[in-house]
Amino acid sequence: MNKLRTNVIFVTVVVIGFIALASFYFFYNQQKRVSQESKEFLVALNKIKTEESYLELVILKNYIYAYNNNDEITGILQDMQKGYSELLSTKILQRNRYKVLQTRIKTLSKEIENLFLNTQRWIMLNAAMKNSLIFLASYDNELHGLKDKELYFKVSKIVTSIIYAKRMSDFSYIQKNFDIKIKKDYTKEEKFFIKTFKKHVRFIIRVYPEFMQIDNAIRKNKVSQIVDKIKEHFTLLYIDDSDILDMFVGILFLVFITIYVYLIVILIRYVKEHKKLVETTTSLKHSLLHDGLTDIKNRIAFDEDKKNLEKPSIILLNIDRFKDINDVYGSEVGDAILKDVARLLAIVCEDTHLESVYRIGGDEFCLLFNDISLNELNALAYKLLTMINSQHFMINNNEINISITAAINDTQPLLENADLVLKYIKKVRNRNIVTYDDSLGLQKKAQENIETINLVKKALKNDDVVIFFQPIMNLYTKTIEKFEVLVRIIDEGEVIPPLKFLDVAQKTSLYQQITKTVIEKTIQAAITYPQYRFSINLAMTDILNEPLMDELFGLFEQNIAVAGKIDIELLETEGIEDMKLIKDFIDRIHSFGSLVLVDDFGSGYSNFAYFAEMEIDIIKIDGSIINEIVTNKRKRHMLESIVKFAKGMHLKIVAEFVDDIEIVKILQELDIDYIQGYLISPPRPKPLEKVAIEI
Amino acid sequence: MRFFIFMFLSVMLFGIEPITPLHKVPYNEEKALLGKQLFFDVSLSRDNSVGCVSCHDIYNGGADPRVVSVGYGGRKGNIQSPTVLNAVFNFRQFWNGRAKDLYEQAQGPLLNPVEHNMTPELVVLRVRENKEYIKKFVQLYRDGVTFENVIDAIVEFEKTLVTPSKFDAYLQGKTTLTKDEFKGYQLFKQLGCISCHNGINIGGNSFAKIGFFQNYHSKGKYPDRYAITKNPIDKNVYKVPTLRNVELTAPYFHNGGAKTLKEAIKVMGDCNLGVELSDEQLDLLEVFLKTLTGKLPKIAYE
Repeated sequence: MNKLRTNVIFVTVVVIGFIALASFYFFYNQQKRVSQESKEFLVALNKIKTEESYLELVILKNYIYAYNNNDEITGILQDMQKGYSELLSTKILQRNRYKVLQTRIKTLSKEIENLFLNTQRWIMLNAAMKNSLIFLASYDNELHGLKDKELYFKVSKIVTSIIYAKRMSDFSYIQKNFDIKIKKDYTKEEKFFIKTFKKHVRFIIRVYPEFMQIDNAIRKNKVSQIVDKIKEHFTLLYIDDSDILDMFVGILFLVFITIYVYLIVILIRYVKEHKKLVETTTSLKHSLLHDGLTDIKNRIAFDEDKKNLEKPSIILLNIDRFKDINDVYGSEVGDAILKDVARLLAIVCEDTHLESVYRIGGDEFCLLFNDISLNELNALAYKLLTMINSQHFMINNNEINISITAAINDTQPLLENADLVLKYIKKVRNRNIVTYDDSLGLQKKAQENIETINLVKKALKNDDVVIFFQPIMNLYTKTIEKFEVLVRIIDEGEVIPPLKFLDVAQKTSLYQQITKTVIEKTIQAAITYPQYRFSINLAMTDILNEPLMDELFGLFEQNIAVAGKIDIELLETEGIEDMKLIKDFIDRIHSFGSLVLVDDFGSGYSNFAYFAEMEIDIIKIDGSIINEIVTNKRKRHMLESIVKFAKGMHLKIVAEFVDDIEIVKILQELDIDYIQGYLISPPRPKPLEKVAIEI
Repeated sequence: MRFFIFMFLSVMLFGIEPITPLHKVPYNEEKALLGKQLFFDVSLSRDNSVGCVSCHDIYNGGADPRVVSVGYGGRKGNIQSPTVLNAVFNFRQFWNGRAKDLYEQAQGPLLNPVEHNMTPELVVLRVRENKEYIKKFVQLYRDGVTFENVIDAIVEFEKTLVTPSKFDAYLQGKTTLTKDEFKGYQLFKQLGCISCHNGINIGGNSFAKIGFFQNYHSKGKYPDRYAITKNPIDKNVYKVPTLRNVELTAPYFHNGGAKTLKEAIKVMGDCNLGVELSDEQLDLLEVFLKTLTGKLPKIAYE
């Protein structure tokens, strides 16, 4: 949703940006055109002005030289008029705001026309006067023979005054009152000349003021002045115009810049968000690859890192009895120790070959190395062990000492092998550092375990988990009263005893399925053979396994009719602390009418305290006592004591491992209630109904 | 700087020789030929009586030997017809310079009631009657037959009417003048004729009053500069006519008042130079003026 909005804004901004840019371009062009038109206008104006000054120069030339070519002056006037037409046709004058200039331009037109007229008149009068002057100047040539010197001087004076007047452009120099009278003794030529002379002087006196007037008018022409004024006015208008255009362009430019800035902001925001994302990713990656508690790398990181090494090897460390530390001091202290150990490992192992330190599991640390000899590793491990074992961890004012166990391994799979070594050490408990070696057979055992698990899985799937029945005989009646149910797996016709699979299965969920199968099949047997009782073996840990118990009691309740025929044999009774739980279990079993039996009584450290607390019904004396009672007197005494104890406690007694008739006789003597063993029958797939031998 | 150098040079050159030799005017040949046809065409007058050539006989000086021309319905004009030859070089057209150029001038007689007595529309109609004209106009002008284009074609023809003379050849150093011709030219300058009759057209580039020293009496009223400007100073002021082909353009002056060239020279001496010219001077000046008679361009004979 938010992203969509951003996109819409982005597109809008881009579109506006383009429009702004296009308008900007349009106005820029407009301005350019106006500026071009204004140039055109100013060029035409300047042309008029230039021609005007040119005109002055040519007039001056005409005034001075005797000969003149009027084409030149006329050309200038025509050029000026052409300049004016050009000015009128400039495009900028079509624009409304420049129409105010029209009045002044009309004035200019009049002024140019006046200048044209005056110049033409000036040319006309100048030509005539020039001719007259040239004529007057010839007086010396014509009158040099004149006897009347007075007249000659008079003529000379007049000519001089006219020349002065012309040179000074000052009419007052001209001598206006001249009195030249033709006398009779003058020659014909002289008479003719003086007559003409007088005509020309009169002409000059008549024309000169007019000429001066026109000359003044030309000199005072306002063409240049008007041009300047137009230019000034135009400039003002143009600047105004440019201001407006500039403002337009400015606004557009501002819009453009705003959008540009906005885009940059978006970009920056994007970059920031991207950075945040990268940071989050990095942190996620970190937490993925690092242990939350110690902040050193974790198992995932280890799996990654080891791939990059050519010759990887590890030291796998395990804190001994770490669970106890947690139990005694609390997990807080345990965590603190883990942290300290992690820190310590990193410090101690500042070895060039060390890749990194990893926390693999709860109290397992791993040091990953590359290209290091096992000897060096051993030395290092030893150093580590000494170091950590001698370290006093001070946590919450508790001084805690720990010891560690180390497995060294450079054989693939690294961690798995090292783990096997640790387990091996735990079992053997004679060394703290062991290097993995194929000869230890750890790998093989692990492989066997896997095979066993596969076997169990297959058996469960194919209903090959079966029960065998070993008869238990009443020694008084010599009849078989019940059967001990024993689990077996049939693998391709071969009967596999529980010894081979139950230990391994116990560590997996398969164990529960096996137990369930056994219970179900026992119930089935109890239904099929209602005349017998059956007993199932359960370990103490099974009683603690709540789901398994639910299963058991669930099945008992469903088959309430036969449930009372099924007894429970409890194994491995030592080390159980929660008496109440056991007591409740026994009570529950009794409620179905079933009996409770303690198996292997007399082996290990059988706890007599149970018998005070719990209502055990039967004890089964351990086979190791029974099978030696014939030869071993001590064992026989032990048996006697047990029997005495049992009788005193009103417990029934079962003897197992009864292999020969000699044993039976002794047992009979001791009033043992039941016997079980190969003498009667080994476990068989079906309940044995008749005993083959006579007792 | 360059401007001043140019100025100085031009002052030097033109200062030395006030008459410049003729040069050709660029023109479009086909338009000129079309213009020639129109120039000779009497259908361009209302009663089909006159063509341009009627009063501007290019083969005889380009002017009219009659004192005043006769136009529509035999009506007489009010002024002597000036020559069409070299008219392109005149700074203004008509005696009083009321037309700025040939384009303006050419319209005058066509629309004048006493001359061709036409209207622009009628001119177009008349031209359109001739299919050959239409074809050519369409060929040469984007908008075909229009009044403006008719005028344009005529002017194009008039541009060709440039007549180089012996005197031009002399100015260009291609020939020499005879002794008398040379003397005549010197006299022309000394007396001051050159003051008005100068430039490429030896006249036609300024206005002058006829009768500075002595009134030139002419019967009747003629349209002078005063008719335009209403300024008393412009009374009896006319355009200085060209002296090219002056030998052929009698009668002379705006009123055709001088029948012969010599007479005209004499009048000029009396009225405008304030000098009574001797017979010898008149002869020499006439000899010189005859060197200004030029040759018509080829197109005139095509």
